[in-house]
Amino acid sequence: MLIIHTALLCEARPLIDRYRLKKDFSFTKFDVFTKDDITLIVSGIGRLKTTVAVTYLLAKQSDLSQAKILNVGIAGATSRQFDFGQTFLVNQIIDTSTGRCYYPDVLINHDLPENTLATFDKIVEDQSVAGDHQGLVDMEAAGFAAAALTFLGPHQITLAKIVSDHLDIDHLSADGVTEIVAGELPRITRLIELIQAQKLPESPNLPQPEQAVIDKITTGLKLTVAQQAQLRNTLFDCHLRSGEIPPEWEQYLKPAPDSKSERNRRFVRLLDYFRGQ
Amino acid sequence: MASNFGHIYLEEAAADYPLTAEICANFPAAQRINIRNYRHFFNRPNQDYNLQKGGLKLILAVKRDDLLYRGSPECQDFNSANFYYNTPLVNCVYDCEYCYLQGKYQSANLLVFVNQDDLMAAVTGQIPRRPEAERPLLLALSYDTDLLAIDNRIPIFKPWVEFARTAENLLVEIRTKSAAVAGLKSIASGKNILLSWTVSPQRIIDLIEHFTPALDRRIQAIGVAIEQGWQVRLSIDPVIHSEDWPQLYLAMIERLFTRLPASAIHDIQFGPFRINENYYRRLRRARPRSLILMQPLVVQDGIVSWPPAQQTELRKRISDQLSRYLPDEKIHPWQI
Repeated sequence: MLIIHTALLCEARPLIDRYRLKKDFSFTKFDVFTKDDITLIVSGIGRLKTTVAVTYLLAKQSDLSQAKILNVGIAGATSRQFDFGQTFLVNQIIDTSTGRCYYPDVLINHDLPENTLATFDKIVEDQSVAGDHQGLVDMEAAGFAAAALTFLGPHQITLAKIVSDHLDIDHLSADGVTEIVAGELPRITRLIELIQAQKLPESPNLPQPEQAVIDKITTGLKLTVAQQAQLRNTLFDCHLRSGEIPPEWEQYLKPAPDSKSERNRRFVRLLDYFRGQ
Repeated sequence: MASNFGHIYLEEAAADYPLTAEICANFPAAQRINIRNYRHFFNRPNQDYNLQKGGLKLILAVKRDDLLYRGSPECQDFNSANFYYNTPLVNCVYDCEYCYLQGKYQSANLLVFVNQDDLMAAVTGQIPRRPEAERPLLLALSYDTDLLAIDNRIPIFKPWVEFARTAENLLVEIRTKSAAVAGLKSIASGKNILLSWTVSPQRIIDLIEHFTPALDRRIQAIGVAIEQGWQVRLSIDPVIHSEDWPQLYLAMIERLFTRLPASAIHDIQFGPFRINENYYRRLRRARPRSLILMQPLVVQDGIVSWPPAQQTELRKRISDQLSRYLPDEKIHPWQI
């Protein structure tokens, strides 16, 4: 699953067209567009709206182990050595209001230049607002990172920023923004391909018959939640070693234990039995 | 090896150290990212250790506290109360599936402390305060890393050897799996420095010691080190359980002593796979299908290891085999 976040609809438009995303009306608080395993959300400008939108979308997902999230948007550049229309992968995000930094793990083998980005609460119209910061500036990235990293690991988040101005933002129009993003679409598309191709670790599961054994033992011995976790780990190791769950486990369930201490004794013996296989 | 270090995260305080300049010069193409405090990067939550192993980053930082640690019970202490270790560098370019580092740290990235002088000063300060005055302070220098494996680009090994050679009442153990010994020629060895090579049967290396040199290359490297006058310890640790572990390990010992002069070996230590219980939990999350988890393991006093009866068998069989080549006082089995 790939989630794309943009602040503005005009930033999202080339991506919506490229991936033929359709508006999903089941989302009522933000504009959300989806197709297959891509979901795009438009938050509106600013850190707070971004945090709320990303949280809103991620909190609705039941399994995030295979999720990846990408922020695409325009950014100002403090130096003219960063070309207008150039796309950067962000390797550090500085939240200028708190001083906190966020670091996405750059683990894909990409060919974009990288840069540091600072998020400000107001439009950065000249270097006096940007202060000492050299690099990219925007108004959303820190909110994006704070929300995304609440749900995901740093290897699951990516930010791609396209230089739209050199702190002379007043000339920018919505159409102009769309044109900037559209101009970099081949690079953004390539980045999306790389992100999608990155393999994330899957959480291991026991085959169905072995899961059923856990359920039967849990019910039979009235196991606590902690004991269930212990049993799952022990059975997983046992299955890994011998390729099966030995059938004699049922004898540890009969007769049903009549006290917690008897249940605990029986449980320890059962674990020893599985560990000995 | 695991990485060519495409990114260097440079802590503000580390910027002006000579070692920083030297290391950065060795990676001219790396992206440089200035960070305020290395912990903000190194200790991020929810990092994926195994994914990071595929693209290691380098962190250059200053170590401000815990410059020297007391040895932990899982380590071989050679019955010395003077056993300490330190971490001039954290994490390793190799990727051994049994390694406790994946349980100990959130990040697989290589963390280099550039204020090595401060770490040395901490050792110097502890020597007169060691618990057993009649024995030297035993310092394990390379437990959380492999200094020799990366010495050509992160030069920390040589300064420590030079420090140890001139220090009194200090015995330094530098553990390695490296076969990169060409640089040893230009470094004078010292009687109080032990190069400790970890050796494993080739099948174990192939299966779970990723990116490490083959057994024969390690044996060749040990031979070179002996020829150049280094004190060499052998470490068969951890022994990994399998149905045919005795055959695997006994054959490896025979191979070792066919190719190396037993009289030149300072000593040898061995022990079963063992790991702190909390680290084991993280290891099993990180590598849920690892061969490591297929061993019969029990928890005893917070340490996950082989069952006691099998540990006894291990001690007997390995000791018996080693006794064919070495006197008993040079054979050190690990015991809690």
